[in-house]
Amino acid sequence: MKIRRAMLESVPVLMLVTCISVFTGFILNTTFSLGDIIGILVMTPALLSTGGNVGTSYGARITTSLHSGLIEPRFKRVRMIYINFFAIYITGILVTVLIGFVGFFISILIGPPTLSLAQYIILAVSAGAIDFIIVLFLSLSTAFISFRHGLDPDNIVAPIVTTLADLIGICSIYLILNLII
Amino acid sequence: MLSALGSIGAGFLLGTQTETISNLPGLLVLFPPLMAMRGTISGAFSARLSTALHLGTIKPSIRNNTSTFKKNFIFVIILVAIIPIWVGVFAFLVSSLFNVGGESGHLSLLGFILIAEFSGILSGFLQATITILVSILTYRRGLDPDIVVSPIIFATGDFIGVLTIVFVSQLVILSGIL
Repeated sequence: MKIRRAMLESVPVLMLVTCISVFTGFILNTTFSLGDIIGILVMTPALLSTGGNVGTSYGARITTSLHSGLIEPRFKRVRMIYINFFAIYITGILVTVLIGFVGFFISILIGPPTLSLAQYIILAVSAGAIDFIIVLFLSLSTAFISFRHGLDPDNIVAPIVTTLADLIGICSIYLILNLII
Repeated sequence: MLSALGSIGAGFLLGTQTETISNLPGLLVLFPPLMAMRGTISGAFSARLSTALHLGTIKPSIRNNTSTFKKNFIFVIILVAIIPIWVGVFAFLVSSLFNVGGESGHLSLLGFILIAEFSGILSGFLQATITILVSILTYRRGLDPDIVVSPIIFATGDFIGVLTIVFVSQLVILSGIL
């Protein structure tokens, strides 16, 4: 039965993804327990999902280049690889600036402001700065590995990359909070 | 960038729930796995839907559709009914292991499973319905569902996920089960 096979194929990825995410949830919980910084809670989904988008956009471009034979699945100093790396990185950072702004204004709506606008932006950008570098490297490696092993990019690679991006993202946020506040 | 808007909405919603989160220690642990589950299943489902529409194995209509359509939908429902149970259990295990909540403790195993299960099914069902509607509508207009559906799923996904968990948590608190 085709459906049963399709169902069985999804289950391993789902199990892996949910297990990793529980640890992400644990760190999220720990971060929140640091103190009632509502703004962090507001910015977290956006920061994590931006990390995921950064990872999957880069992964998609690398995968396309691999399939069209433009690049090899090896870490060489090739224009395609590092120019896209920086372009997507910069775009991601710009989005974090926006997230910082929105985070600040939303937290004012919700309750008494605890941090300044500048602090929100610095938090968001710093977390992103660390997060995206790691995510991009991870995405690059994952694209190479999955290309070599013929793994399905949409159903296997994408969920894994976004889940790992979530984990790296929440760790970056936790790290920055401890460093700055 | 658009999907960031949806996530910001999710963040806003999350920010308003600090009281609920404080009342149910360990609740935050459930958020990422349920989102990841919903996202993974949605992605696979929308890809299969769009392929099936193009191949003609599924009709672009909500009622009286092919058995392939029904099977795919049932498959999604089965997954979002079963996986959250494991999520609840594992979240409980990790919370216990790391002593989440310290002295005052954290949600019970039942609590984790209840919230995970009901929000999992609810969000999975909502997202699947939206995916079906959007896929059919775009296909009928002659557009490629792949291009339109993905951004919409990404944008609404986080928000629906947070909304359902919050909703179910409130119900659980109100009903006094925990």
